[in-house]
Amino acid sequence: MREKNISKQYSKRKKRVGFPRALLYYYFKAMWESFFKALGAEVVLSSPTNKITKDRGVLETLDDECYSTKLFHGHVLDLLDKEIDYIFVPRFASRKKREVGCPKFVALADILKYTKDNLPPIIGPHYSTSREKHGFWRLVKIIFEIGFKFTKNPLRIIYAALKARKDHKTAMKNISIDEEALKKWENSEILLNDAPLIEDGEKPLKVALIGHTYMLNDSFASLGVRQKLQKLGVDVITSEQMPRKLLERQILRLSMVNYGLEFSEPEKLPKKQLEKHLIGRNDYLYFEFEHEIVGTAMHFLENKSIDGILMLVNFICGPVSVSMEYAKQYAKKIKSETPIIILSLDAHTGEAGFQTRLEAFSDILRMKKSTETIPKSVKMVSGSIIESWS
Amino acid sequence: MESHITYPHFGPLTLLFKAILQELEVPEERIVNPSTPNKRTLALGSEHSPEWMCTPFKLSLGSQIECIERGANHVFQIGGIGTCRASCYGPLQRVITEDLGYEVKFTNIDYHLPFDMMRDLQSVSNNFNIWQTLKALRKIWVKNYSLDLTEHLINFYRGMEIEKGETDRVAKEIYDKLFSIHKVKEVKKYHKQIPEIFKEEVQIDEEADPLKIGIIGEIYVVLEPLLHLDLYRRLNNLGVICRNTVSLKKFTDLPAKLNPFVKEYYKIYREKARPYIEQYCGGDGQESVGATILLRELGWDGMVHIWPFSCMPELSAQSVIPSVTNDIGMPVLPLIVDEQTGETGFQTRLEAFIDMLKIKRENERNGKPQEKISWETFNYD
Repeated sequence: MREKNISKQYSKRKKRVGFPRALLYYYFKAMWESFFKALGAEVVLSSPTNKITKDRGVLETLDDECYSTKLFHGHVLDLLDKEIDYIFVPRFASRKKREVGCPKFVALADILKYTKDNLPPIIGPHYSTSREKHGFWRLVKIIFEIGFKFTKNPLRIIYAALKARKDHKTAMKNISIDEEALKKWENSEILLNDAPLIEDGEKPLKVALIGHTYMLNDSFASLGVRQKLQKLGVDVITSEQMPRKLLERQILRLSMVNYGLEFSEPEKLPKKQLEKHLIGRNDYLYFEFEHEIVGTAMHFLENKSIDGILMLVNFICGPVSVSMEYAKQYAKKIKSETPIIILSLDAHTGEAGFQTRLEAFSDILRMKKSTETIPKSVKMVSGSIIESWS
Repeated sequence: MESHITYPHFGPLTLLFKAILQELEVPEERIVNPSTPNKRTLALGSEHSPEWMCTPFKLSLGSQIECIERGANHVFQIGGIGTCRASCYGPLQRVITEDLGYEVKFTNIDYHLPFDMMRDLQSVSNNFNIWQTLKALRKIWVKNYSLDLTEHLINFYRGMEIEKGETDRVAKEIYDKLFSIHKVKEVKKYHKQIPEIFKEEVQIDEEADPLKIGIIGEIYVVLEPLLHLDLYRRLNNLGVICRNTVSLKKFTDLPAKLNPFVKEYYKIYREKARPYIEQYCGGDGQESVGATILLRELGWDGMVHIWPFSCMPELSAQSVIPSVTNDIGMPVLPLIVDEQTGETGFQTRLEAFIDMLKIKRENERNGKPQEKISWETFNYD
């Protein structure tokens, strides 16, 4: 009798789906979690990145893989210890007609299949709008294919999909701010994050923190950059918080002659006039997740409304090598006065060196803000520095 | 202002593009052909490129800057919507050359769209209409078949020739003849003679027992001698016959692209790779895996996998290739190249790999007599 009960309980146990807490999870976490929860599955997350995750990931992958992929493999190994029934690693290629993600996302599921032992079945739907011309019906197919693994009720699957869509939209809305709020922040009227630690009478520095969502939100991978900046009296805006429309506008300008500098709102141009100013039909930055990096950098480089830009990139990331160059060249082109620093992180980055660089950067920004705070000795020794600042 | 047209150096595509512009009747003084790249070209390109960008970008930027300095102001380059960074080359090089102070117009060709490609070429031609452009292009893809065939023949005969240098001499004659013919019919006629010419003129060692090695990897590196450090010649000198599994047909073979009944060569590879990499992951990643499986079925001895440092699709391929090796027993030697690759280490690794392959073959044969190797059994197209 007792045994029967146990087996009954076991069969009624919710199916456990594992998400590696890395890469795409940070972009789509609201959507995925609410979808699987509404289907009646239990969502299991790998533990937040720590030293063990990192070390296991580094051992598991090829040497010239990017840092984030190495962490991803570490997270998968962590998940395998947690008794999961499925692991969710979508083969995500693109979700818009003219944009793609990173090519590594497509092959991640296959690589896992052939490099890990004891791997539970992978749920890895393939979705590619730009190359395979997938559309709404492909999405429906994917939803039902996944849904029937957990429930036999089609209505429940539809409900789960709609709920996931709604949750994703609200999550996106909550993260990004609108252009009015951005203006207010630039004028130092509001704070976007926890109040930075500053002495009385001092104003916090305003810095744009640019990088992939999966770097900035992973406090181990980014070496706690947000907390560190907060302690240094810096208020940050991250690239994921930027208004989406503003970013798209900047990317449009990037493919216009002379960076479209003569147009502040190019999307409002008549279509014929816009085509006249575009460089060519095949000149477009098509990496979707780079738009927020390049767009944010372009916006703050030309607006001069903040004190500095801090770009945090993971070592040997392919798409970032492109967007970094765009940002650098744009800064050169418009002769921007806003300082920009690019810090690259990998598995061997030491925390002390990172801290020193952040301190030096914030000190320089403070000095630049008010020449009075420059130590007198510096003023005496090198007059040339002050000239270039004033 | 009169435009002076140039294009990046890309292995044999340089020969083809030169021929296209001739066929389109662009005046010769308006074409700036890239010269064969050397270490200086690569250094020049690396100096102005982003540090983490792949090596082909650096080489093609270097060769472009050289051409621009020689007077070119209209560049043809890859662009459009791709999967990996290859389609970023045009847009990014435009930004960089602009920063260097050159006034250059870029035409970025999207090779996924054959009709757009044709329209771009038509725009530089001598007032050709679409039909005339198509006719000019037809000569190119027909010539490309012959180029591919000659390339495979060289790598076959050079590994077994008795008198060293014979194959290269014959190949040079064939290249010269091929690009002096202008009629499609005659090119096709000559195409059929090419294997015969090699057979008659190059004496091969009948007793030879060469290993058969396939070369897979990123297309630019596999086709560019400066980046693969003359890999084919090195293998041939070690008494190995080899063949590459990528081809420019992927971009130039319009009839196969438009004909639904013809299966292009890379689609065969991709289907073979499905169990390992299910979906297209950019570049030649899937093809590399598929070719390994196909060549094992055909009884080849080993593979060399070569890719530029930080290439994303080939990294995905290399991640699964160890399990392919385990499953089907095909040895694969991975080689990563960048602008600082040394020759000696390269050579040592190749020699060691070939010695091990020989031991493996001896064990597998177990005293059985060798199969006779001929061009007909070697060529699987």
